[in-house]
Amino acid sequence: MSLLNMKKLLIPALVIGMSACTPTENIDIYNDHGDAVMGLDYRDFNKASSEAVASMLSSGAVNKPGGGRYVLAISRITNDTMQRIDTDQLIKKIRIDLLNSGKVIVTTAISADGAEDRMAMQARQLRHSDEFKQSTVAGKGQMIAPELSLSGKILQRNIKINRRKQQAEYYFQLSLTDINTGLAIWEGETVIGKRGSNDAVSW
Amino acid sequence: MQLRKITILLALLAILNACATSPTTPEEIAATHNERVQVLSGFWGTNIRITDIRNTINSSNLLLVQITGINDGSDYLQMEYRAEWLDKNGMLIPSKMTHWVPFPAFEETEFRLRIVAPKPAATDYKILIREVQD
Repeated sequence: MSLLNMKKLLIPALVIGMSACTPTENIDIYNDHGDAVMGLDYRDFNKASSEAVASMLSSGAVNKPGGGRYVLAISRITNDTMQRIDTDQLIKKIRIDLLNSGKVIVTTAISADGAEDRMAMQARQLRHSDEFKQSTVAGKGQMIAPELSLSGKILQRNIKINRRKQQAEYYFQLSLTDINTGLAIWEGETVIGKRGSNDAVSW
Repeated sequence: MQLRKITILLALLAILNACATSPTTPEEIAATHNERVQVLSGFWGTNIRITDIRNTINSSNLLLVQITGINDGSDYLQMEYRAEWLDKNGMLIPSKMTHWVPFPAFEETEFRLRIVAPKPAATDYKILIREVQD
């Protein structure tokens, strides 16, 4: 075997060998002592969402006068970071806890970007179909309009500290608006700061 | 030589144990022995002690818990708590808010935590407090 051919075999073998040295492990999400990362990870979303829900519940903003539940629509949550984030990572947790609180119910029939679940409207197109028993088709005037709207933004600021270190600041800003009056009845902000090597990427 | 090392280690442990503070007032003793709030001390003990626990129902009909504690040490401590909520039958109420939440405990100072229940059905709780482990 020529020296060139041997090199061709040796390099992939080394790469495979090196990757085998780093075993994959499951994260214990209930007790995760793993190193922080410069980007956003699930721990940051957990912190931001639970702070927001605790603040909303403590403030009494979602306490409907006379009892009952508020109907909440999800407005636009802007990702203004350098990372590709599905903002549902934040909003879903908030929705689950607000729903569980018994204070709020979320509509999926309307949102800032159109219906989250289009089926509610699509099923209404069956009204004139002979194939469907008309008494089982959703009737007119049954949908409940939202009373509150949740909007927000996730911001990122990167600051270079020196040649070796950088700082990444993340701001989770949320507002709860009374749709009837247009007034924000609750606002919250969670700041998460990270300092690390310039070599670490936060995008 | 080995015996000397063990003696030194035991002496050090005795000194550390003597440094650990114990509750003095009846309120502190009651708070320390409260089964609902537990400070996880770890191998070297802890400088954190709980001095007061108050429960109230807020305007949203949710149980609100306020815990007061003291960091007796001369170092700032990054702490975290985890709250589990139970209904009147003692059944666990699942919540996304049940996870370790960080909070500061400044040196030789009191700290206060306000923790709100996730729903009105929550009538009881179990709160764990510990130092953040790196």
